[in-house]
Amino acid sequence: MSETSVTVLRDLLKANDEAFARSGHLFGLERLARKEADPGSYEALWHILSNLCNTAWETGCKISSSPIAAEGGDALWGLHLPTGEAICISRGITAHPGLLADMIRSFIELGYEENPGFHPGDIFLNNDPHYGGIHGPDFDMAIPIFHGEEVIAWASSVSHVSDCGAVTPGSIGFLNPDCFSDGLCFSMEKVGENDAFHPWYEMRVRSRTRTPDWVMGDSRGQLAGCITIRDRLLEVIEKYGIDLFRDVSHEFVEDSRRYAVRRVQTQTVPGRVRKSQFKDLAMKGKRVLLGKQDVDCLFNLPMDLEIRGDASVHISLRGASGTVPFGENISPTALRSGLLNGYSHIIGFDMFNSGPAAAWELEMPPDGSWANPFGVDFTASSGVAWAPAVMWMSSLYEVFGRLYQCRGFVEEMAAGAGTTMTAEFAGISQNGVYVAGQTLEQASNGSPARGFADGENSAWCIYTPNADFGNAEITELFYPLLFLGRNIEADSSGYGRFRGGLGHTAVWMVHNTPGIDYQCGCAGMRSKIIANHGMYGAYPAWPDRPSYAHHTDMAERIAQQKPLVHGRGDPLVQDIERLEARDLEVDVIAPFVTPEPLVDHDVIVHPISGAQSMGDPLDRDPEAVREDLERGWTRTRTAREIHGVVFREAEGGEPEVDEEATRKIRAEARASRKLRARPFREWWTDERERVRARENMDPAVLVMWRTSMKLSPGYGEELRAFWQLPEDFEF
Amino acid sequence: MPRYLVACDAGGTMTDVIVVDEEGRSVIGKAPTSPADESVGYMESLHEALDSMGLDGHVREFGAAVETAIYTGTSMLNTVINMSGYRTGLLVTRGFEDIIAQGRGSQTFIGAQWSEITHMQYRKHRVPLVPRKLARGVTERIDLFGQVVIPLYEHEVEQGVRELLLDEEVEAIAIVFLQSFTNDVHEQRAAEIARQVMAEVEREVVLELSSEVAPTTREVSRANATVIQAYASDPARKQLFRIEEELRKIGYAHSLKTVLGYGGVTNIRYPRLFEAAMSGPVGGLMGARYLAEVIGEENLVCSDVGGTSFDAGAITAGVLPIDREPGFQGMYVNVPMLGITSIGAGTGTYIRLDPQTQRIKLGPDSAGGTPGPVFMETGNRIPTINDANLLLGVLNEHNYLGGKVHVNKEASYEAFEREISRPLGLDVYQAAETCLELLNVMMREHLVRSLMVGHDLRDYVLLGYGGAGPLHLLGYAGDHPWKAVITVPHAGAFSAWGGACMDYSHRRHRSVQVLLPPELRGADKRAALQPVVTAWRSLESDLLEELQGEGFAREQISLHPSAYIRYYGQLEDVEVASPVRDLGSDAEIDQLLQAFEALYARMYTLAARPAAATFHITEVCVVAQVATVKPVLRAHELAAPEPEPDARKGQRPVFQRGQWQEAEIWRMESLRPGNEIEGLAVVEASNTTLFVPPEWRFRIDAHDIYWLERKDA
Repeated sequence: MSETSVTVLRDLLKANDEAFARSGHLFGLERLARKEADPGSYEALWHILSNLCNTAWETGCKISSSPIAAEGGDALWGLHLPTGEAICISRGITAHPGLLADMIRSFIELGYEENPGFHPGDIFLNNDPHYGGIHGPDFDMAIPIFHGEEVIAWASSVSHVSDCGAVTPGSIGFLNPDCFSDGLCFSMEKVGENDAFHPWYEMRVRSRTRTPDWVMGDSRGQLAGCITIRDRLLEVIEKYGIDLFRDVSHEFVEDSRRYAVRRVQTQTVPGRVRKSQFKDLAMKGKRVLLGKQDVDCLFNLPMDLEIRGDASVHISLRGASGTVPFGENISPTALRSGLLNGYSHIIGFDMFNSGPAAAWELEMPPDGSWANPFGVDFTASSGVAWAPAVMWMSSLYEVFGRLYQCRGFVEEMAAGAGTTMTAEFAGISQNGVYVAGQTLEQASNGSPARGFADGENSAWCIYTPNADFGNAEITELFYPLLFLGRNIEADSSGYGRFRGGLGHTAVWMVHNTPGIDYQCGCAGMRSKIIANHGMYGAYPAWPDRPSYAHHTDMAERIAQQKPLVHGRGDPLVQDIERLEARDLEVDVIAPFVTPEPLVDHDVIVHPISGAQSMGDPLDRDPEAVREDLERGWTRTRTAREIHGVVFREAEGGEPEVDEEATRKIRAEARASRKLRARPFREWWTDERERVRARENMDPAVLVMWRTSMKLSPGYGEELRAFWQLPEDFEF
Repeated sequence: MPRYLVACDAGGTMTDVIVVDEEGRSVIGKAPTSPADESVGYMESLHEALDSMGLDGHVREFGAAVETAIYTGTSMLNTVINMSGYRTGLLVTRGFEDIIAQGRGSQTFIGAQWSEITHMQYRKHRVPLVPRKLARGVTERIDLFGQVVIPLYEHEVEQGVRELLLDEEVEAIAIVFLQSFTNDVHEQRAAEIARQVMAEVEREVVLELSSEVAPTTREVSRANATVIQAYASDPARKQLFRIEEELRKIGYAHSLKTVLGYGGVTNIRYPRLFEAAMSGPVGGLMGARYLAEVIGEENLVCSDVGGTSFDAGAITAGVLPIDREPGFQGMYVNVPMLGITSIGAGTGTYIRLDPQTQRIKLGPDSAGGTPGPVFMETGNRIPTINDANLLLGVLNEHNYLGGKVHVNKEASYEAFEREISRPLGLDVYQAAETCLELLNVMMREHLVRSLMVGHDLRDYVLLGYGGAGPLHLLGYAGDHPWKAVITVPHAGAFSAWGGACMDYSHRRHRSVQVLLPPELRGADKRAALQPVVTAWRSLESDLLEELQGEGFAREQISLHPSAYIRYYGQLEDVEVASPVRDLGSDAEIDQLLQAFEALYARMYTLAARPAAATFHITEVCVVAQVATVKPVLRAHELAAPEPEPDARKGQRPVFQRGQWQEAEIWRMESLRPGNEIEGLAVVEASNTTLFVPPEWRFRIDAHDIYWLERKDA
């Protein structure tokens, strides 16, 4: 860049911010002049630019090495404005465009225009949460795109590598006590120039990750995709002109913001919805790395959404609790990107870019909270980061679902997505090589119950719409596992008039290895407490509790052709309990790492969540319950006790709904509820006494409330006011 | 009477039949597709063609003179869409009983646009062909090396089959065990037990094994393929027998042939008929390859514009692209199919404005033939692409479908004004032209960004066909640097014509797992490759047995082995036509690996080859072919560049580049090889319209192929 233009982008950034603050329109675009004058070219350019990103996806994924990127789709490519805002993205993991946009913005704010400067062919990388990254394994890459001497855009990419060199193998570092254990760190670094990585980039990857070939393969795929975007974009500019590109690319972002605003305006009602949400991290008494980790933690994730009369949306996340000595802390940048992802699923899916992020005002969690840690605790770890934060995305589904429902758009309602835990393995594969990485089980949960229908089974993933768990036979290529089952798990979605999509349970037998660690990491699953209850009287799903058996009698059972383990079975007496084993752990509270490597014939039962349900389970169509029963997706006991549906044997032995008995027990259930019901004031009075006395509260609960109230004084005041507690009350 | 070949392409809307004589002359007939009994549409279309040939009074002589009759179409598809197949039970590895009902998440968005994919409310699994109730688990496991880890629990097989036959009264049973493609011993034994049970209970049903139907990795896709074969093959075959029966009535003496999804013709009695499930767009690609030989080109991009979709495929170095796991009716299937990619963009594509942002949205849904464009006045009030074509004067209101359909241009105008132009503040004609240009961009981008990743357009000839191909070809050809742009006068029935251009062919795949690290040399390397050679020989033996069983002599059959290779760690592999038949020497091995590296470098020029490459061979394939008689593209004597006077129909105003311009209108049937036409022009035929914008011209070569060139080239 020339000497005179070294702060061009910083000045532009400032001007853009001022224009938005002044006009309420991104870049001050009160009119979308190009769109109005030539709507055809406008659409054509959108199509062309989006296709650039998908071309990058095609190229990049084919070159990427790890099953996570190529089979699971945990990667993404994007095109950005010079100041970082995403213009359009490829398919893939949509939790990241916001992060990539903020990373580019940070380059500019950090003065990189001056030092090291931006040059054609430069490659920048970040995976450091302190500077806007999410967690170690997510490598965010960007390259500047020049037209003459001017940066006219950026191409970006993210890929989730299988191992990032953290203190424990793999990519879900929930055990990391601090950032020093998060692994290989690229802090907003220039890692290459002239379209090639610096030699020391690969040297660091080789010396500091456990699966360097996969990591480098992913890096090559990322870069190839970015170069594809750049080269093709320059062809487009040559054809359509730089002015048209410059204008429409800004208009696309503003147009997308307007789309999100218009959806709110036309499909919701003004109002305020508050959603309480909690997630726990039960680690006391488990294998941990440092003494301070022998503790249970509880996260507070309150969400306060207000839509005002002018359709402006205000989301407050104040009240978040304090940091934890594990990898579950998250940077505000990543959180904002995650919420943009959630927003796109319910509000802004038409043109996926940075626009909808400007359609709401976001009050971030307070400094020092687990979701904004570094101002107070600079060494906090973000090894897994998404774990509790995805619950906030799910909350977003629910709060908007309520406001859609108020306007009658039941088709747009969603009860909250299923979120689940990862299965990660580290050890020797069946081919005799070292592997560390995840299976793809967690990438396909149930989708939420809708306002008019059940959710879909194994068809949605909150962090990527590319929800898919791939094929078992492909997983077996990489890990020393033999699938014994991968069926839909009955009753895994909670219970309601419309149930969430069901999850599934993977059952593996360890096979052909001298030993492998099984790490059941967390990415939003339920541990001891139940998060995400469902909407409008639905009952929540049961927690995902894996089980495993170490040193088993599987070999003898196989030889004798006895029944094996192919699913979870009846939750009261599970199938795995039929095994003889030296260590048999049933319904283990995740997250955890097996105390010692698992060996051949060990068995793992790994459940994956269904999504949330909607409405009173007593209102569920009895015929829908019967169909679920026929498909093995519910049990007679559930049908009777929760849905109030009674069956009798029809001709041919098939169960059919006994309508009269069903009516009767449903009436009884409703009457019983009334008997248990109490006036709110009475309940509140009793409960207040318990709160005031801090009665029967686990230390994790006390710490959570204490830190929430301290870090967000306004939230603390509201809490005290609700319970009418003294002004100096603390937990 | 000369000998004839009859080929049919039954689409979702129309059934085209092409009759080709032994000199390569062809005539086309068209009739509405008749899904309930496809023989109706077939015969109606055939009679129209015979009428054009003046043979309607000599049907029986004609029938006796037909040497080959071929069907390409939707009989299998319709069986799946209408859920009218056999009641099918599934015997599956225990723990995978939900494999069909659960499928994979990605099956819920096959073919969807990105905005639909991100909008979770649209998620929907298809109705499973095998409900869970009809699935029975069997304890067994074979590992990825083909080793038996858990022996088959035979008593569970017996019980499962008994229940399916007696309690569930199934008409077919599919057997799908994990990793059975590496070792089929459990599936074979289960089938043996199933047959015993069938004999005992005196009920024989269709029995299909995944290791026979689709012996390749990815169990969900293999299960889907096996179930489709069990569920739909026999019912679809009945439709084909109906067509054959009707042909026999007019004197046809041979068996009806059908087209396989990977491009090849087979007898309708072929056991793995599911391979014909996706044969619809195949004819076009096969015709294109034949055309490529005639014009001496090895790289061709084939583009087919229909009423609902835009299909495209690329032939590179004369090799047809193969997709081994295509999406089909909400399922991935391990069925090799020609690599054809589609977007929802055709002449029936709806044009709307987004209510939130007033953005123009094309499709992806379509009015198709029913209810059709607004101008047909059959209930649709939303403007379509063909309404735009009509308004702009590109389509002749008196010649739509050969003048058989009444057209109300006013209705199109009103709809466009109401729905599009007034809200946008545009003139109706400007708005219509804008929408057409947007469609062209979508098609162009589909070709350039999706299909041609890693390829240089300057090496490729773009061929347009389909009923609306010539209408939009030059729009989506745009100013991209194609080597050449061509079309043919029989573009409207090109797929049917292509069906007549295929060899008799069968194709078999098998998964293998072979790793070749750089340090592996000599005898060790040859030993490591033994599974590839063994699989080739085994597949060759199967194919020879099949084809010889169908009456072909060994010397008629040619065998073509290939291998799917990648660098270890990557998940995408490349089909490499093997230059050698054996891998018994280092030189032969080097030839195969060098062929892979050359192809890889050509496809992914941006990807650096790993420094120390470990090669990973994942699958092998053998194609067995028998050459057949094909239509001949005759070389004609060239006429003068100026067409005969009777070819000129007159002039008509056409809206182009924002203004009305007079276009020359030509009658396609009267144009001759050697003629040259300058744009702005419209060339009309009964089944297609070629639109030539002002900056284009074309000439017709001796083979009646239209070569379209930019005037500024």
